[in-house]
Amino acid sequence: STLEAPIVFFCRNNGYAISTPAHEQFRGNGIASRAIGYDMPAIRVDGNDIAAVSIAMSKAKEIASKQSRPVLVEAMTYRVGHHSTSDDSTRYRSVEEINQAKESCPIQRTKNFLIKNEWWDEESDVKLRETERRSVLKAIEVAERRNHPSPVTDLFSDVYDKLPKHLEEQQHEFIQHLEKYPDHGSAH
Amino acid sequence: QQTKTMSVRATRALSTGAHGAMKKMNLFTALNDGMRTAMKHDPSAVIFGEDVAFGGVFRCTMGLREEFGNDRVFNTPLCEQGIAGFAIGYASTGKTAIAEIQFADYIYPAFDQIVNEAAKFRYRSGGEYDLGGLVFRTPCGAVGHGGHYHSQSPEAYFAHTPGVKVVTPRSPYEAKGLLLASIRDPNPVIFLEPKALYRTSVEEVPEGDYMLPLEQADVMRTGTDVTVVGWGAQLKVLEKACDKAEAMGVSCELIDLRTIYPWDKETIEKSVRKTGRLVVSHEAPKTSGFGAEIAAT
Repeated sequence: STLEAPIVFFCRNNGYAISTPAHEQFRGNGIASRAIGYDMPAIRVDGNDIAAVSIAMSKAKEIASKQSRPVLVEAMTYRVGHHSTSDDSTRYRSVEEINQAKESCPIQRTKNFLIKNEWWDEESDVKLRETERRSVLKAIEVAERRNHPSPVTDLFSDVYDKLPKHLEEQQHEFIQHLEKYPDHGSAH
Repeated sequence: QQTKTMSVRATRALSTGAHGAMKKMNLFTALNDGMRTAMKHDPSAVIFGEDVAFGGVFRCTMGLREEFGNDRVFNTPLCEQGIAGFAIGYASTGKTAIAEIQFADYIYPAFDQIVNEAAKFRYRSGGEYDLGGLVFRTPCGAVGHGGHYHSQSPEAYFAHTPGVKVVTPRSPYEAKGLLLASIRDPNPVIFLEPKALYRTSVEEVPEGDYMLPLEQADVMRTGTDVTVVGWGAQLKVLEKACDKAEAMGVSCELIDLRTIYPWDKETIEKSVRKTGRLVVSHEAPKTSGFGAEIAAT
């Protein structure tokens, strides 16, 4: 704000930070209400509606560039999945809550919208899903076949523009260690 | 002794390719001059921080706004995290960001930005991006009346952070050369300026453009009985200590580390092999201070 910079800050509010719901993070009117304190206009939008978000972002961009000021967009959504593969979110929220949120699924809504306008159809949808699924599985296969990064080089390269002496020494010690204990890892 | 130091200066000035003319400067004037030089030769360079526009609380940025304009020398809000984040963003576009943190004691809100963002920028992008043009300048060290929050020496926290460099000058000549080297070094550098020396340290400084090498210690005086290592303002104390020791017949080799991280182990090691004894002295707390790293090596 003080530098009158044309920036759009996009905040996706999905209701949770791992297990902590928004109600335990802050009070007041969501994230959008914070903007006024920084003299920023704010737009709240249904984050699961692709058209609405597109319109909101166009408007935000227009304000930011024409008025040379930052703008906040708060896109409301819900984190249907677990936080990570180490998380079982049913431990802190009900299955009913999750299922209810699924009804607002942005992908499903986009599909419905496209089909309703006759720009898409069920058959194409099935075909596309299958093509994309195969493509992703193939990409995983290719990635898994790749060589693992080499710790001997990749632990030390790009820390600085050039390897400094002390890191060069540490790398050398590491190589010596691996050569002394080949059963615990390879230097190559 | 003084004559010897002066001629060593002149020799060094010539050998680093500095233009002939010299001028008596104190530390803040030398830093000011260094920044002016950097700004002149690098149109992308900007200076920002709290109160830098009017010249800075220590006058380090005097006259720079008048010379280079509002767009290149400007105040930031009172937010070190923001200063650091902004500096990182600016430098990430390949430009030069000279960011001032008003007192090293206030650098901690910026610690996450420095350690988690700045230091790891090159590594986590596999070398595709870097923050070569980034320097954080900050006054550090005791000044007598500074108390808890205007006296700290935080070098050890950053010496534990691969990806950054930590540099500190002991005098005006050293400061201008090291600052220019730090600004131009292709890695983010934290440049700690001993505030006690801003006015009190005065010497002849080349008026032209010159740099002093980073990661290279400076042997201030040679000796045979003990290696004495320090940096920044502490060298004034160590000089007196070495004089006292010499009066008692102890020959001291005094070394200014200059770059704390990565440090010049080779020069210190070479000296200690000669003298057989090492003393490290610094203002920062002893436990886990940078002296501990040197002593342990």
